[in-house]
Amino acid sequence: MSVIEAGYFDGKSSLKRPVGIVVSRGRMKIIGRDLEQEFDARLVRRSLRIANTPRWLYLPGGGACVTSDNAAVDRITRERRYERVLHKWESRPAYAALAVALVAGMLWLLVDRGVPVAVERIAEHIPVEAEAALGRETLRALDERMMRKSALPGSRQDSLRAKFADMARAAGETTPYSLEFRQSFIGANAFALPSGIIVVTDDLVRVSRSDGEVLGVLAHELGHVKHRHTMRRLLEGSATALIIAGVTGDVASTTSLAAAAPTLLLQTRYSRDNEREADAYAVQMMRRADLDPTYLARILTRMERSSGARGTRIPTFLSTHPQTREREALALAAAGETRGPQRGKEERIDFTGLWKEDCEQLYGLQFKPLEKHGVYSVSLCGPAGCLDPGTYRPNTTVQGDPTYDVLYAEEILIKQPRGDSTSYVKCASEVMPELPDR
Amino acid sequence: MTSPTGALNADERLVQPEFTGTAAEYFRIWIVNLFFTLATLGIYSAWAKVRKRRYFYGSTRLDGDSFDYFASPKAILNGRIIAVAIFAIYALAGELYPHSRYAFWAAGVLAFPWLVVRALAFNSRNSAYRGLRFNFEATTKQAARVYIGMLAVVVLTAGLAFPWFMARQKAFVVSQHAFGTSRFECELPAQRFYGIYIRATLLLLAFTVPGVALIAYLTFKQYDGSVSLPESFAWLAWLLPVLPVYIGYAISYAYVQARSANLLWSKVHGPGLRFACTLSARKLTRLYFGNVIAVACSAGLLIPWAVIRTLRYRLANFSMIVAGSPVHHMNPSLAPVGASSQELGDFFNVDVGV
Repeated sequence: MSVIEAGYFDGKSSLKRPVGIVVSRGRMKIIGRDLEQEFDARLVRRSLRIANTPRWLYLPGGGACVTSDNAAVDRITRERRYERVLHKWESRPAYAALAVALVAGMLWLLVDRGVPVAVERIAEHIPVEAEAALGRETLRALDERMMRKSALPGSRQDSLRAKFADMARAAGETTPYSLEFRQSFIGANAFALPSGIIVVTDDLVRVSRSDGEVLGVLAHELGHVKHRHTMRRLLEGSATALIIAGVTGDVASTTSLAAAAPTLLLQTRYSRDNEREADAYAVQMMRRADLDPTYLARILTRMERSSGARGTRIPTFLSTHPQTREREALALAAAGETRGPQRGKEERIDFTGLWKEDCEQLYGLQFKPLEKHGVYSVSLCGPAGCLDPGTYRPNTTVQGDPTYDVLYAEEILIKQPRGDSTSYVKCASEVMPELPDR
Repeated sequence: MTSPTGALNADERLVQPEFTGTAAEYFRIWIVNLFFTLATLGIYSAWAKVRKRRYFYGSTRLDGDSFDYFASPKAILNGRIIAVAIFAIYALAGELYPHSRYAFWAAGVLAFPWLVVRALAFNSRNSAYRGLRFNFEATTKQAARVYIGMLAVVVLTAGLAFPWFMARQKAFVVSQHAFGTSRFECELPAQRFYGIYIRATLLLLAFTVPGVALIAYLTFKQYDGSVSLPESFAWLAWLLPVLPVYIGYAISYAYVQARSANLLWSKVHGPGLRFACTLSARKLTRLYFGNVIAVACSAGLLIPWAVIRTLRYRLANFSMIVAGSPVHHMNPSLAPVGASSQELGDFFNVDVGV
């Protein structure tokens, strides 16, 4: 029978008395100078084991014993299963390594799958009417600070409204929206506000070379409305805050910048996903309304130039149109998709590498060789990575495909559906992100 | 050599806390907490909080004995559920009906004294040392006088009364704490707080103004085309202006933390007890920056290391001066307190401590 050395506190004063603890036949004896107590061992509560911190035995009647002999405490009192499991996890480096991997995996699942799905479900269930007050409020605030009444003639506004309504009807689209024209220093831009308000700046109408281009941008904004992106952004913001708070909870005060960076990364990530979704929607809507999707591509380029030239580029986190080139390519791709690939005579040219109008550009085409010899999957890539494999063309021989005109191995001409063609040159492949296999 | 604690009297002895926690040990507890929290979609976070705190309390020894924390995780979980629900309502309602925020803020200000009292009471009554619980004895009315009354004064003086408010608030929090029946006392001279805050403001300006001016100049140069960032580094243009402000803020924050903690503890005393705190603003600043860099570069894996390092530094600069061998006695009238106020406070990032 072993004696456990411990300190005894009677719970009434802070006086500590050295005692010995002996357990036999279900009875726990506390023995010290001028002190002898006996308890039913089952009535003694003990604190859970945490690393090698001292353990407490809470005695019936308010007293307590403390000891550093963790093993003895585990021996003399009944251990609950979860206690043993927790201690095992917390004490072995191998489990810690496993936990790191599992945490990383779960965070990825949460960020990549959980949040988007949950947010989409919730957003669907919030009635559009609930957004009405927010939409009105936001528009009013913008009107006060950043926008003025449109200088476009009323007839022009009405004609654009009518054309977009026709387009929506032709595409079978019933999502409610309202179209607002405004003048603003932000340059050529358009954005969607809660409750389906779409704002178009005069500059956007001005830089457009045809109404088809304006309609393309409106279709994109309607995509935001249709997919409830303003509501989703709001929910994503809250979800991001919760995740970050959960993970970095105990250093929030000392390293707030360290917490701000992942917040920003997560939010821009979700925002890019939303933009892609709106783009895909716009292309689809334009095709259903029998409108050439390259209109969207062309005006996006011009919008970028118009805002860049004036030196008032709005930061990415405020802009609804962050990745013009990637998106331009998307619309072009969608337009090109309508024709099937054609076989020609096979000549072996290595098409791997990034093809750009000039190598300084961030966006370009990637030709990825497929298993079958001489067949490639062509995708659009940008700094954020490549869009789904085959976004431009799922499989093509390039040589003999009427879309392409191969000049020589380093230069290629891509014919656009409207008869134009763009020349691309091959750039070093390191500049380009790997094509993710999704 | 003069010690920052002042000379010890004949019957006094210096007691320095001993911290036995290590970064490796805490890393394992932290990552397992995180894992179970994620795996249970946040439910385990209440248990995680108790384990974390028990690890810190158990690893801190003062005069040979460690602290004990016995809050019930279930109480904390209830508190968290209430806090998350209120946060969700606040966030959603605030977005959909922007004016509803004012109602929330008003309710928050009015409920604040009650929240503070309950949160501090929950925490202190669940903390023990040598078998005796701590207590926070203030009533909501007393807290209201400090928080709402003094906040009104601060607003009326356009913030000039802020250091005075901080001095009163800290003195209030400390002096309402008790260990068993032994009360702590704390008298804080407001003029010393003015000194701290004025120097902190000057520090902030000294780092922020030249930094912001330089960035503004570079931004201007960038737009007129004489300096340009490569396209792939364009994001720097949005980060750089924030940096000097953040650095200046962190430095003056560390300065206020170090100096006010030192001042505060030098004025706290209980029966047979006084304290000393000798934090260096410079070392604390270095510690904070080291933490930020380490945490950012390790994708968060060095968070436990940063926490332990900070705690270790703070404890190494803390000491208690005991006269004789005072015995403290239990307060028989301690009733349990719910955890929801504390969790609400945590959630809305309300700093109620000292």
